[in-house]
Amino acid sequence: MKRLHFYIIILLTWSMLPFIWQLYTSFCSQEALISPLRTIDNRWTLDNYLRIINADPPFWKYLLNSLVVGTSATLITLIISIPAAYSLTRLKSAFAKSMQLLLLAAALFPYVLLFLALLELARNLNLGNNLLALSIPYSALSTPLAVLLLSSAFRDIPKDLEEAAILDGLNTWQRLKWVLIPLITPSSASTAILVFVFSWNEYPIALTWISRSELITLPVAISRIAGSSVYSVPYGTYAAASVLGSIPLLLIVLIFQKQIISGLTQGAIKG
Amino acid sequence: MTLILKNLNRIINNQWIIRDLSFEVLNGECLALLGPSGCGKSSTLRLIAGLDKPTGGSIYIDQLDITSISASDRKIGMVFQSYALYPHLSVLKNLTLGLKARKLPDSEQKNKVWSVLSIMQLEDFAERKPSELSGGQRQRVALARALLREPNVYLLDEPMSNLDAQLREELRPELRRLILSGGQPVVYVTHDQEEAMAMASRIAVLNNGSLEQIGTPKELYSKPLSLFVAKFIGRPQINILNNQSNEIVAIRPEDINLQEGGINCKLVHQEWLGKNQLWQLQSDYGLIRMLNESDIDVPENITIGWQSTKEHHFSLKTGKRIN
Repeated sequence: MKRLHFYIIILLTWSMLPFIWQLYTSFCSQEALISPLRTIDNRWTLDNYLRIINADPPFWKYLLNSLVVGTSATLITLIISIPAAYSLTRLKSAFAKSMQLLLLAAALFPYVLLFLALLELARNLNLGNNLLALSIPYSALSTPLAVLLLSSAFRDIPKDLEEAAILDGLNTWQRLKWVLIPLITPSSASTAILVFVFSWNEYPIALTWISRSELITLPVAISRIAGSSVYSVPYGTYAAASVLGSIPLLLIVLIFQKQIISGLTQGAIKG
Repeated sequence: MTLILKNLNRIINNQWIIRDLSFEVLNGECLALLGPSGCGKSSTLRLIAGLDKPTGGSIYIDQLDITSISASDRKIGMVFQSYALYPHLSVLKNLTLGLKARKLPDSEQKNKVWSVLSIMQLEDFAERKPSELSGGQRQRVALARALLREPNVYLLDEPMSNLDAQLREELRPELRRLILSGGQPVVYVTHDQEEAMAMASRIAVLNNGSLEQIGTPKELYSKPLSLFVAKFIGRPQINILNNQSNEIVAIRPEDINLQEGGINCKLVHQEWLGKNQLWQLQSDYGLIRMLNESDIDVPENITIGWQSTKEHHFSLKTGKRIN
């Protein structure tokens, strides 16, 4: 047990330290950051946060932008991926198998290579400076992985369950709605979080598709925070912005936590 | 209602899963499909349910050919081996789902579900999830779901296999009462010959996808048409005598008696079964199992015999019965 605790503490430190450091930085004055060991009268400050919140346009505007893009990207991805994953697991043809390989390849493709082409598309289709349009490439890029994750969830549902539903007289849509989709809730929730986090953090496409400052998303907004001169980097302000930007993600994970952890398929079969 | 299977075939990857299977199950009759695992009994059930498509042949309910009707329209009440209850729904919702799909009015849904719950003595468990029920309760929920389907045919796929031996015996009469009172044909799949004899009015023994024999439990026991059936029905298993003739001679352990001047045997093993005891005897005919009353004590060397009319003869080549 002792040993296990030790490993857990190391792991937690490893993953939490950057966040804790960020938190620390966000509450420090500029002088305190430069000389961390010296005693300074006004080491702790809320200035960084005040500066962000009082900026124009205010910070919550960017949070809202990211929230809009993230939510719509996640919804679009799930609406496309759930039926796709279901049919891929039910089709037994060679076509379905090769589609699955193709999806895997697409999921592994480094998306940064696409962003110039995407920019051209946005320009030709007039999709620039449109928040909802930004969720199109986001969901397109997330769909391959989402389909793969969800199809393994569908595959894990015992075959008997769907057959029982067929004999109960449920049609395909009813089976999906009443039996299968509720059963894959844990996987849908974790898939949704992955998609949301991706769009929350995405930078190159957001940077190139959106130029109007009241429409930019969080990562772009953070990168635009600049000090008074090129020689000073406002670390404290960056940190405060990152902390504020992480809070919605933390909230979402906390809300979905139960769905992710709960073993919904327990008791489905056998005594 | 009568269920009729006519020359049913199913071939997967050039292998016969079901071969030329024909039988009838009458109104209110329970037919057991019996056989070792992989003999095609569950596959037959899936064909009747419409979950799989036959390669050839047809299935009728009365005069109606249902071979090409989809599974959800066949009105089949099936109890799965795993019970296949919806794990995310309460017992009540598990049972309501099928009625909801058929768009019955809410009040009617409620009435039907609660009346079945009371038949099954499940009222107290209506709000529980399947994971919070015991094996026997789950089986009752699965059965309740089949009843609510108001089916033309009941199909039961090893419904007892998840229950312990004692509960199984307790539930047999109840299960018979519940499903046979409706007057529909019942097909009952099992690999347990004892259960088949207890539940069914007729038994169909399957081997490698074909029908070996169909008949009442008594017929199968007293006049097995093949060596396979003779070996499968009756416990302890029938003795096959090593007599080096051109046919197989078999005799049931319970038909053997102690007989003066009979075959010389040496007692090698003794099992006490309560009313009876089972002896393993070494003789010129090979190892012989013999069933006897348990209060007899015998020396190591005994002589045994049987009436020749009790012998079963089978062809050495085909394993079929010779009379």
